[in-house]
Amino acid sequence: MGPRTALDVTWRQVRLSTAVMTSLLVAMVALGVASYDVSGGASAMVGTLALLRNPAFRALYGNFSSLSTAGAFVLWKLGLIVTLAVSLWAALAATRVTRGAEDVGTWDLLVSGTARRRATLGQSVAALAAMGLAAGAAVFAALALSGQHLVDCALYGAGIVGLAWCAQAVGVAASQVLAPRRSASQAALGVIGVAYLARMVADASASGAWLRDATPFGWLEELGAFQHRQPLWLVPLLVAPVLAVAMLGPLARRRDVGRAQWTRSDRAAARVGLLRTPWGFAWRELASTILVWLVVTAIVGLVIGYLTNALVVFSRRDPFLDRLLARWHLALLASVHGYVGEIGATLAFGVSFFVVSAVATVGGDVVAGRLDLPLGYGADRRAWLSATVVATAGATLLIALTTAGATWIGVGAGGSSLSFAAALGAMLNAISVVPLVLGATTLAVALAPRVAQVILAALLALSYLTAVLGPALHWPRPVVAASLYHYVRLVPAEAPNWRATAVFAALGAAAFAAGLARFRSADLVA
Amino acid sequence: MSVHALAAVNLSKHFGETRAVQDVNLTVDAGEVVGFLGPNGAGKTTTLRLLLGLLRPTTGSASVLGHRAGSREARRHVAYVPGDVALWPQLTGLEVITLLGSLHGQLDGDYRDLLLERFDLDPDKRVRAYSKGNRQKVALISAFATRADVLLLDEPTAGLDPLMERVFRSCIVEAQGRGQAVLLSSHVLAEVQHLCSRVAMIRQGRLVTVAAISELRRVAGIELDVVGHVGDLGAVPGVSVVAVDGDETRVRVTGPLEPLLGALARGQVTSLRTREASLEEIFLSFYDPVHG
Repeated sequence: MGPRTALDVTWRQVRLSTAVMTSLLVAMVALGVASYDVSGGASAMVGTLALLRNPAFRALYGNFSSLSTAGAFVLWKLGLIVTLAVSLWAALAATRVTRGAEDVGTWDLLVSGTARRRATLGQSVAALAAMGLAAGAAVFAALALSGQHLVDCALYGAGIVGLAWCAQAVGVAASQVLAPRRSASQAALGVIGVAYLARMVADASASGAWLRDATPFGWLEELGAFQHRQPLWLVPLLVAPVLAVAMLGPLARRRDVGRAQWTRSDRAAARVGLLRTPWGFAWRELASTILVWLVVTAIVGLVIGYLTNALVVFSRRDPFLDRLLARWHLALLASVHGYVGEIGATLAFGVSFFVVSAVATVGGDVVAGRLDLPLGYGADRRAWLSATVVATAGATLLIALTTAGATWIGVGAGGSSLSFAAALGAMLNAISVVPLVLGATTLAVALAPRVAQVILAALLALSYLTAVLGPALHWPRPVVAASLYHYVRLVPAEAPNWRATAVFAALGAAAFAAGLARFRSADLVA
Repeated sequence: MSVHALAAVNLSKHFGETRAVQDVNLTVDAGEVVGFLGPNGAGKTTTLRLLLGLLRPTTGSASVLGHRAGSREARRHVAYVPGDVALWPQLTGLEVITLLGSLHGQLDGDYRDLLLERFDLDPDKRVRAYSKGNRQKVALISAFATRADVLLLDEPTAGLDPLMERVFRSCIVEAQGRGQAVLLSSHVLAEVQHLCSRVAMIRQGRLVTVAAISELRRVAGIELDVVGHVGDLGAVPGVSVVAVDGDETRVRVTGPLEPLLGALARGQVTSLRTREASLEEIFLSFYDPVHG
């Protein structure tokens, strides 16, 4: 093995997703700046002070003192999605190139030559670090090109680098401690989720403000880009992940390659109940992923639901916000039903990602050669893929039910009134997009199993941005109409879009049928 | 006319410009074990994947007991052991065997338990904790326990220790005794020589020969080490001199032995040893120009 083999191997694994993520970041920032201009620019933001002080808004959008520049507006409006997207992407990449590489044996090859284990881990981490740099550079470039103050652009860009590195450090740490990759990924995502919740609590309440300084999301906020610059907060953002990874070195050396510190027992009594058919097997394979999604959506439903009262009451009392929301085509947010409808619309986006990642596991199995044995023993290709699609569809129903219940409880606990039927309607409406996403993913997996997940995830993200920002930016109607999420109404404030639901179902069924036909006749090459 | 257990007719598979398999004609009958030999990249695995229906032929056809390869009817009769066994790491060995047996539609539980014992496999271990050899055992036990009519085995003993190779051989003999058809792709020539009645040799995607081992030996001829003064044996019809060392001459004979025996009778022979060509020598004569 050459001296930089691990670096090359790791970079090859992550370069496609890095290209997609940096492109999305550039697009998001550019759209955010355009959205600021359309909203009326600095003069229109004069009255936002009360809004920025509202605890519920602070919980959702962060701690800001003014929106007097487009940069500040972008960070406020898109900070949630940018920081979550970067951190989740970075953490998943880290578990993929470390724990994933050990699971499939790549590490055995890398460390069996002259390369030392520490050097191999170091090179993998270097490739991950390059991902973080690319993300930060993309955000810096997009902000700078829009004419923002270069110091603030650099500060936030560096902050994004630090956030990505912190998330990667979490991913690398989880990979040292847990196996297989799926467990490491779930743990890393759990840590990031808790860190984000801590940031929300810190921003919403004075008593919990100390929590802000305990998470990378809080450090990024403390940097004060486009606000009250405090570049010293770059120190924890950039140094903490380096220290963490340095401390993980000895941990990596002490354990066996391919194993983690805490590996579940290698022995287990056989549980064969769901192993009789592809349908049962698909449920079993997706069970832990479904459970994670149910827990996450339940927590998010509870928290966001709890904030409903504060947000809605504030919106009703503040005429400035009322006008701003109207300008952003979000006037319905000033009601409980409208707000819950917005939660549903956001769930539609989230559940789409779940669908893509779940169905794409079949593509992963094809690429890994895991389907050779089942198909060599008589499993029907179409039944195998259909089983995963059906299990995924069932899981989205469970997610909708759980989110509805959690939101209903959260809204009630926060002091607003909402019927369970209304909450359920909102979340069932959210999954009206599922048939189309299921069909499209089935077709993509059949056509290009290796890249289906990345391509569809990027398309969904673009589609969501188009739906959220397109109307406010007065984009051409056909462009906005091309977005899947444009058709998701804010149920229960609005009536469900039955026509779109029917079209989604029909298009999804056609894509599903085409995907099955293709999967049946395709050469399965690992 | 009885239906072949396995049949490939003018079977070809092209990947773009690459002709991975070209005009392969091959049959395997019930109760027959056929060896499938060829150097790396010759097209063995591609042919097996075509017979399984995992790949679709560019031209020609493949069938299992008369059913198109990959069809529902064909799949019901086949069990497969890949060369590189990829499994779900979190499942245990027994769970994998159960899953594959269920997908196949039949699994002889008693025979499975016997095979677990014979292959000395701990079925309660998760796949991720198995060595390559143990993962291979999981695939082998699954294949034999289904008692499928047709076994497609791609390098099935790669990773097995010599003791387990012996177990494998006995299982193949039992399968043959039950009337199962076996296509065995292998680089272990001693294994093929021991188990197979016929061998098919493939080179650069084309079958170069399909014949009984005895027939291949006949074609390859026999070698004789002759000690004594016997004159120029190279001039005898059907005889070629392989080496000369003093009064010892090694010759290879193809065809009838009478001309050589006549020439030897006319000389003074003090010692004579004969030896049939091994499968390895036959294999090398097909693929290695130095030995050919």
